[in-house]
Amino acid sequence: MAFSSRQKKVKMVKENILRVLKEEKLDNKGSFEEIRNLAREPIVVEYIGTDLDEFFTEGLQELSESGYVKLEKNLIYMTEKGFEEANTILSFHQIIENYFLKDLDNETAHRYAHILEHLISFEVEKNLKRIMEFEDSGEPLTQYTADEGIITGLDFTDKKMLERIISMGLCPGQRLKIITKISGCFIVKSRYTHLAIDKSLCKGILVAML
Amino acid sequence: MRKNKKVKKMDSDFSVCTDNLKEEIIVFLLGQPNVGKSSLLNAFVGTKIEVSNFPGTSVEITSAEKIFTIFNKKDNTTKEVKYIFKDTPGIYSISDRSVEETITKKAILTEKSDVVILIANAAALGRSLYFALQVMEAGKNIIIGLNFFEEAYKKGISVNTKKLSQVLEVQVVPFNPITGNIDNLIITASEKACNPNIKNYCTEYDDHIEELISFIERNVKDKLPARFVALRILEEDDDFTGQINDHVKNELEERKEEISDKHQNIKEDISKIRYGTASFITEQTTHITPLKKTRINEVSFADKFLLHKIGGPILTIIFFVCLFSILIFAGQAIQELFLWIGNWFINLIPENYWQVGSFSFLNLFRDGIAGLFAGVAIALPYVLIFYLILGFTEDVGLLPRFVVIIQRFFDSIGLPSKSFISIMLGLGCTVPAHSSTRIINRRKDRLKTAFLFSFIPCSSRIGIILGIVGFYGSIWLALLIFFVEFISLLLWAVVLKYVIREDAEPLLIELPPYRKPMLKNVFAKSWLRMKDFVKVVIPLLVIGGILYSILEQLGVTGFFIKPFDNIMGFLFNLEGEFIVPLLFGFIQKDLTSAMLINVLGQTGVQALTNLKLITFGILACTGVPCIIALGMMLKEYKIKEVILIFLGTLIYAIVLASIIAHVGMLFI
Repeated sequence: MAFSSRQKKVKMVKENILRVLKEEKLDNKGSFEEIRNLAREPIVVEYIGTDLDEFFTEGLQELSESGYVKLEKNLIYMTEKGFEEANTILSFHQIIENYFLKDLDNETAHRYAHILEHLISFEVEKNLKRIMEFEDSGEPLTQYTADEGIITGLDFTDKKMLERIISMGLCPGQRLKIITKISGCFIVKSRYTHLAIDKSLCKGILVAML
Repeated sequence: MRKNKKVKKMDSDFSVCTDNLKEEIIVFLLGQPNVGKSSLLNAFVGTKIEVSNFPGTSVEITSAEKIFTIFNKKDNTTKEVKYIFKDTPGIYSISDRSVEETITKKAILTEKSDVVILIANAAALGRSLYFALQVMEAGKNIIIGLNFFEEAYKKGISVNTKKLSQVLEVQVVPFNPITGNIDNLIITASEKACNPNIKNYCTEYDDHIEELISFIERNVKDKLPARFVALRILEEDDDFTGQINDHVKNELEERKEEISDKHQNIKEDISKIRYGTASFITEQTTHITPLKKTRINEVSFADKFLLHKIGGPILTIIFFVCLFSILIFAGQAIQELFLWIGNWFINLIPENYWQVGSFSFLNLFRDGIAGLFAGVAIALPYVLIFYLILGFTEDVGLLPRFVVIIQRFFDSIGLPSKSFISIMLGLGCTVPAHSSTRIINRRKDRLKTAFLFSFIPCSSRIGIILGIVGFYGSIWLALLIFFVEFISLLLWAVVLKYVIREDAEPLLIELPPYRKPMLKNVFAKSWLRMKDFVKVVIPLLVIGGILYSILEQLGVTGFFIKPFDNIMGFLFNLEGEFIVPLLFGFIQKDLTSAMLINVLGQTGVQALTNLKLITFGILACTGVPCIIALGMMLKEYKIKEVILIFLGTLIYAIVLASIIAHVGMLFI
């Protein structure tokens, strides 16, 4: 599988450079060759393909321009801003890996985390963290008592209905605010839209406390 | 497919920069419901399409054409280019749960287009992008039009269109059809149509799903992109599953089985990843400024009352009481004024002039004018007032709220809540109401709703009830007819609930934000809906009046009426003459009132007893309303179903009117 977007590839390389500088105990600095070799993880090579070196140079340039690293002679120094960003990436990685460890083996979970850490957004990361903290997998919206929650799962046998629900923005990880209950319906706010959902459908939407 | 054949030339033009400017460009408008597709079409070609603030206004593909004079900067030439715009029903994803979804899906997959404008809602970008990603997978030559840009900005949401465009690898153009800010959109669409580039953003799924996609891609041949076909097969789309042979199918099942521990439901996982991608892109390209008191986080003031457990039903009842009160009082006042003008004008025309024997040609003119004034005076006020109120209700965004409020009540009588929208439209005209049932997902639910239209008085029938029974009898008699129709509706709904045993479709509907209604749009929409009245009904009213005058002057009306004397008398205690307005009413309901006046004269109608007025009102207002509605039913449903509905409701109307006529005799 190859990523179709150049930006995504550059982003993945950039974040991997920061992660290597932080994680590989290099004291936040390393030589160009050292960092490039350490960042050349099999999974990164598999996803980016043979152009990795080209993307490495481009990624490093962008990191330098954004103030995440400083380039001096052959050495790459991580700045304070870069250090914070690296912490975020590692935190993403750990959270995602832990999340997948619930259902998958170590290797697959680690692999998924490597892919998703570069793609996932801060909002989703926050929500995943919360989902992991739940002892159960949430409760049906009909039994949920709080005003706000996060969708932890969808339990529907009608697959077309399931797709409709997801396409309307009700997807696991999504925040939900219950506005009111009226006439056998739940009025909820998901992102910036209000939806009226029949009670029978609400039974299949699993929600947990934020 | 509706088609506006007339091609108009535009005074102003715009400039493009392209190598090969086509002479004809087909533009598809796609997007989720209530995202502004029809508004955009109106902005492109002028006000011709109905636009409302509720999901599901367009239930069929509307085609409109326009010639633009375009200056091409590339070679400094000016050329007239014919644009064919196709407005599709809004859908949330490529699916076929309902008829409207099937129509749009078929259009995406089979109809030729030079460019697709996918309209996204800036305030709900994630959801819009879900559908956009699917359309991109289908390999369409696409640009994205971003609507409600200003509305989103007021809510603190700003979309970085440049970044969005870079990520999706397609042009993203903000536009506003209301203010007429559409030039950039049409320019970008034109250039994209002339230089197609379908190297769209490609949603990546996880490696297990990607492996399945690759496997199917190697085994399918289709005009559509192999990746899209593979995804449709994995998403269990019946239109595509037949494209792989049994051997491939078996191998696919085995491969699915191998990854079943990781992907128990591949269809669901594809949807989740697609939505996740859409959300991710949204978060990367949207900046949200927290507002001090943001309306998006609060329930709007109106919803606090309208969506209240007790307040909602009360306000709904108040709304309908107000609606009918306005119809009754304002309608009757206008009717009186029209009748006064009509009588004054008719009295100017002398009787029995220009005679050949006993046949007066001037009388033909006189009776034609009398028919016209009677029809216009009785039907027009009620039709016009109803459409103005309906247009206002739609544009404000009240209709979906009413759908929610009546949900439990409709559920108890076995009707899907969405049928409320069709019923409201049915109070205007049964013809568009039948086509609007396409928003109802289940076929059986559509049929139930279609059957019940027989008891929902359209605005022409409201004209008969208020303009004949209410005006010449009393308003209480008119209300009694409304009550009888309402009870009939409930009775049949309950009967159908038990005959067609199926739980009603659960409700899942978006509540659009309240919007200030634009008077221009309300009037334009009312005019669109009234256009048939002016173009078809008015000539029919004149022809009906003249036709009856010829028959009467020739002394042959008795020949036609006499056979009905006995049967009308036996069944309904009515004279044979009543058959004339009833039969004319089947051609067009507005003719009923006019022909009754023609046959009996105003004094004759004034002399009718209350019982006769009620019996006539029930007969005229129950069952399939007119031949045009019958034609629409034949288009929408199977012939057997139409015959069943037509005969079933006709027999019911006859029995009901007969019972009222005979039982009423005992009391009056």
